[in-house]
Amino acid sequence: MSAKKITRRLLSVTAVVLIIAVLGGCWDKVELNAISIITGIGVDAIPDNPDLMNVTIQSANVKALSGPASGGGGGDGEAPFIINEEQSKSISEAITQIGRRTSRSPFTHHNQIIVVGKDYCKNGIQSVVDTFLREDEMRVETSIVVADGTAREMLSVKTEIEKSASQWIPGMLASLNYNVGKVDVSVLDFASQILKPSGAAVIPLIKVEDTSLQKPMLKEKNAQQQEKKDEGEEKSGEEEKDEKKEAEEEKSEKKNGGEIETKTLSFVGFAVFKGPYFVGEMGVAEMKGYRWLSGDVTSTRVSLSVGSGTANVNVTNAKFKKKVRLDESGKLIADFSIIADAAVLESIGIDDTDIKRYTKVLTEVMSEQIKKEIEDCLEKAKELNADVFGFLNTLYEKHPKDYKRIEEKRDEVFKNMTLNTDIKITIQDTGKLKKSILEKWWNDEH
Amino acid sequence: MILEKLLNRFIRFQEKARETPAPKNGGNGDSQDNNLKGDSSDALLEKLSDNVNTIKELLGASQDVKYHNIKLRGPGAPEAMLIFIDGLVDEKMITEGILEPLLTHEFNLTEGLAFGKLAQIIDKQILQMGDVEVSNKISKLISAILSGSSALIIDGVKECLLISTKGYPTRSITEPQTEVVVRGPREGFTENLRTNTAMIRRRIKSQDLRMEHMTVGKKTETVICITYIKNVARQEIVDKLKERIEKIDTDSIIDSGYIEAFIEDSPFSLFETVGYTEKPDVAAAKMLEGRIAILVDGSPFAITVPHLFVENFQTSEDYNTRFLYASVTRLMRFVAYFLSVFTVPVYIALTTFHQELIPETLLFTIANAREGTPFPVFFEALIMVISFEVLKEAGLRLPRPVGQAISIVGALIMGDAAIAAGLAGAPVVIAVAFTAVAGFIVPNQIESTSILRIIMMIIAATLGGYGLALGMLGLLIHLASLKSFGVDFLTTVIPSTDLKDSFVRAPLWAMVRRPIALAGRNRIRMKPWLPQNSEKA
Amino acid sequence: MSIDKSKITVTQFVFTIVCFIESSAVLSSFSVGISGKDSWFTMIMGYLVFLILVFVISQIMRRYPDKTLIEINNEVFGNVLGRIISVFYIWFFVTLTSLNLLDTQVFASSSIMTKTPPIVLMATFMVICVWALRNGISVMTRYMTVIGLLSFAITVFAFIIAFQKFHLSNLLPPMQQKPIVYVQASHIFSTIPFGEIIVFLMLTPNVSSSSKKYGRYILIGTLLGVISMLLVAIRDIGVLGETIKYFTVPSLETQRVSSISKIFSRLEVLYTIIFTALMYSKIVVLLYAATAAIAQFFKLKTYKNISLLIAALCIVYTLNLYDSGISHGLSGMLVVPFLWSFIEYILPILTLCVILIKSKFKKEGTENDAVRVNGKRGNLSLGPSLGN
Repeated sequence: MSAKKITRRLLSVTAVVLIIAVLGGCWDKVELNAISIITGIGVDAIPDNPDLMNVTIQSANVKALSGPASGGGGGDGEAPFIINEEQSKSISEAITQIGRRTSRSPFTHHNQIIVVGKDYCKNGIQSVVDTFLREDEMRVETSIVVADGTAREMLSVKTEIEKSASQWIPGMLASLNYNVGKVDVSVLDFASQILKPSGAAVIPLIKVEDTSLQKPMLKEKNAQQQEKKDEGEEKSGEEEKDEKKEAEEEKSEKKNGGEIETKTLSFVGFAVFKGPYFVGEMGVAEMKGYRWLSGDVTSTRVSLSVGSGTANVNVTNAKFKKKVRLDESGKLIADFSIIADAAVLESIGIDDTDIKRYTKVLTEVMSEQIKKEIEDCLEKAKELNADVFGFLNTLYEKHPKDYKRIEEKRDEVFKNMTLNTDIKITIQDTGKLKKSILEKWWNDEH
Repeated sequence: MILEKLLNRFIRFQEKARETPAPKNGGNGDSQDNNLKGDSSDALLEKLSDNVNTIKELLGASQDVKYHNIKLRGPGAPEAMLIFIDGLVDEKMITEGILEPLLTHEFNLTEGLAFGKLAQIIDKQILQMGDVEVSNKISKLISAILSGSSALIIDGVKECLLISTKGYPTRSITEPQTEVVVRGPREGFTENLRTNTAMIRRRIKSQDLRMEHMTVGKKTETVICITYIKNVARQEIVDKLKERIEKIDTDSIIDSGYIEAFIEDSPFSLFETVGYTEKPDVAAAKMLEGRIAILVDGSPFAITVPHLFVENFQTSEDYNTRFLYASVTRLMRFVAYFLSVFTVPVYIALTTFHQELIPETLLFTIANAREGTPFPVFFEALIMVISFEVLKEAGLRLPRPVGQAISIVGALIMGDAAIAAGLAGAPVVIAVAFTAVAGFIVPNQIESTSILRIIMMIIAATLGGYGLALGMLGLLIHLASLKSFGVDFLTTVIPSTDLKDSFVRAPLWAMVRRPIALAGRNRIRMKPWLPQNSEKA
Repeated sequence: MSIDKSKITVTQFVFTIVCFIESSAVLSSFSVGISGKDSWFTMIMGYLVFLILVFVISQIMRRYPDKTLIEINNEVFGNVLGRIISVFYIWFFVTLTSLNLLDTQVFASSSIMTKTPPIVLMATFMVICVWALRNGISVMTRYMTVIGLLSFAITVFAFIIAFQKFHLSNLLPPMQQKPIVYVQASHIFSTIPFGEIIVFLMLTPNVSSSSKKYGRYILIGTLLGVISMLLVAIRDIGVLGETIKYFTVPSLETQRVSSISKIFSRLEVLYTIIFTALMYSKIVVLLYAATAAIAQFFKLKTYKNISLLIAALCIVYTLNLYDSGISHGLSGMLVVPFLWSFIEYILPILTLCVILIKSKFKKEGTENDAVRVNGKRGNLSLGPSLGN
């Protein structure tokens, strides 16, 4: 290679490298300490103004959040999460506007939960669904939750164990998923459900509940502080100091002493949606039936009353079969069968000398009870005219031609549908005891 | 342009230097050498004093050149001069092998015996040395003396006898520092070429083993030895190698690294295409696969050619241990190498461009660590990486007892102090520390990983994950285009070629054939063999 | 010689094809947007249509094993008409390169590098491609095996991860849409991912194969590619359900949603890296085809000199192709399939017909020397090139 060629090559390579280094000028570069990580978004309706919505944004205050390595954290005084509120026409607008009030740019990629106030739902949650499906920065697998109350209140709750509501709620949903059956609904799930023929979906309903608890530890601490102050008073004996101390005492009492108002969030049922519109609720009573009908039960406790006795059974390993068909008159008939195992957790007052008869009695009562739960739930769904169980979907999937026949009047068809349930539950074991030890006292009257 | 002018000048100078073609025995002879003015004055003259004067002129007044005048016995026997360099010769050999027989012999120089034959007679019948050469060139005499031979010049004879009496002190065979094994031989090459060739001869007792000597370096006249096994290595590669060595036309060859610089294929690449080793068993193993080893006098490092990418990850210990564990360690080396280069860049890319990819809790921890630090992540990482490089280099140069203490303490203190002072965050320090340690798993790649790491860090800091993906692709392209003496650098790493010895080590009895790229047609190593030793009860 | 003379092995050839097809699995939104749930079916239909092209190409390749497409055109159609047809092909290659570059840039911009100006992304990408190109085909294709296998492994891995969110019921009921939907989607599939294989006619001379069964190689390669694409399609439909029609890049959404415990969540990074590698392999082949075609057309000494120039041209072309991403999407659905059908299907079929007619005439000519029938173009310079 001639000198000219080598020179040219070296210079061009250097030039290219420099250009790229300058061009690749870090447009997308965002330093970690310049972003505010949003963990929860809440949407409420404003009573007088139907156009605007009240958006609550919960973001993380990193310094107060993380572990011991940071050297002390924020202490008790600093809140681990910050709440910001904004009124605007849309969620994205609200997020940008909040930038006016914080020192960092909002970062929505780690958003854990969307809380929608019940009042807001009544006008339909189109805005929420569309924003979260469309915007790049929002993730479609975020869980939605309806607040029985306002979202703002829910996100501001100071919860125990977890540091904020936006971490508490997903945690609860996850544990319920694991123990009971699928409970959480993401935006994608919701969208998929309402696009299907049934057009109906459920979203978990969560309520803020007061629990006024007196924390025993703090009471002791209070007592100690009280003692110290008494001593101090004795020692100094100056009036001004007394006054100061009294003032302090009052303050500390308000803060630490006496009763503390902690709130907890509890899962109280489902909010039912037809399309993006809120049509009603299913409470705790109907929740059980919903579990059964949705075919998604990991394990559940059933309480039975058998004659004069009671029993408590744990049903696991449930397998479901759903068959849907349309008969000649256009009536929807669904055959639903459950095959499950059960284990007896508690059994009082039931004659268990003959184990076969015992199990037979228990299974009969269980089937009856479960059937009733299912029927209650179905009634409620029919009342709300929302096929949240997916019967219409199954009809469409398995017999598309039949579905096309009744497509226009599918709401009616759903209202008039009949459900045949067939439940076979086998009691696998009775726990550690073969027989109840309290047999002697069963017929005693107290 | 200035650069161009400089380059032009440089090239013209080189071309002038190549005006006389190099002689066959290795890039040595050159008309720029000031001692010889052509063939005619190179011949020995008849008179002893003339010859001695010429030699004294050429060698100068160095005190370690000894001129020992002797008179042969017998009627009409001439004088002779024994010239040698003190320190390079074994005095005992001179005394017993040369002087004693020479001085005790009665020379009977009657008419019949011409003087011309005297040299031959002395050589064949009198001297008790094994390695004697007869020559009539002064240049040869000078180079022989400078290499440790003794020269015997006889008055009236136009030939001289060059007797090899090398006996300089050398280092004894010790365990090499750079390639430590738990199980395997611990001998290492020394600086003496003859010892090294002997070590290789001991391991490969085949008649096909060739040791071809050449001399390189005008002032150093270093003797190098090209070793290969005749029917195993490819002849094209041997020829190419010899051609390249003959083209070397430089002053000094002090170490094998100098030769490497002149014969390698891609001097501008980060990766070396010429391997080196300090252990004779490694060199022998490589030769048995079809490679060629070059031993350089004065260097305990033998260089092997061609060198493939996988070889950086193979150690001799892999073959002495059982194949399962050897495969696991081999894989671990690859993974560690990859991590060592890419951990810090990936960390930079993730925390500056793609925060959404970090799981939440980790994100909070990292963000918290970033809170107090003043520099952007890239500079933090750069500071830590550079301080690590400095520590490493300093640890190498310090005298041994102090060195270890300083590296450990230095690392601990710098890490902790940096975090406490708020200069760097804990995650960055951990990432760099892990990178550093992982880098040592493949010790002969330390240079390339350091530079590669910094390049990738810059790419990650400017273009994020996308840039890293492109950077990786670019690196792959570069590796794919490298060749080592005609053999693709990445042979045996790409599937559809021999994978038996790259990512995992197949059992020894499964490696029936040599890698095709190295051995060409001479592939068969052994007969196919399956383990059948276990006896069924 | 204007084209690269280095040899690539059959494995490398097959895997280059695999990478080529697999890269289209990502950008399936053109057709998935039309056929939605039944995309897996339309994919198979498109593949069957494509088999016609495989047959045609293998016949052409068999007769001219050592010639590239441009040379074949000259041979078959004569100098003038052949050159005109070559111009079509050259335009096709350059446009394909630009379109794919645009796709890469749009994907990167929308998912990970939102604020970087597109030209930076494109320029850096092209620099790497040109670097590979200048090192020759064998270097370029050396990694295709690894990339192909790796991306297949990642596809399978992603399928397994998405299993949690996968509902088989989302695939039911099949075939409920209007027939025109299926025709349109199959047409799109047969031209956009599959028809582009015609590019490999520029690579044929380099394959060192004794048996020259090119048809078989292409078949194997595309089959593996199609299996990978099917896996991706089925996974996307199963996870996204009805919503698949509405997303611009459905595969990315599936990746975002799927996770196994919190550690393996947010795996779209893996996806983006593999996507970049696959698009790189596709664009490098396309760029080579474009550069080599132009070099041969203008009878240049080597293609390496103009590679950088062509790359820069492609970048400029890309920036001017469409006004917006929306018109790009629309065009991909409605306009491009027809355009490509002409070049990918009609032209090769025409070429094959002419070859067959010519060979028939030549046979007749040798049998019956007295009867000299004029060939279609009046060009009797059949010569030794027809290696029948």
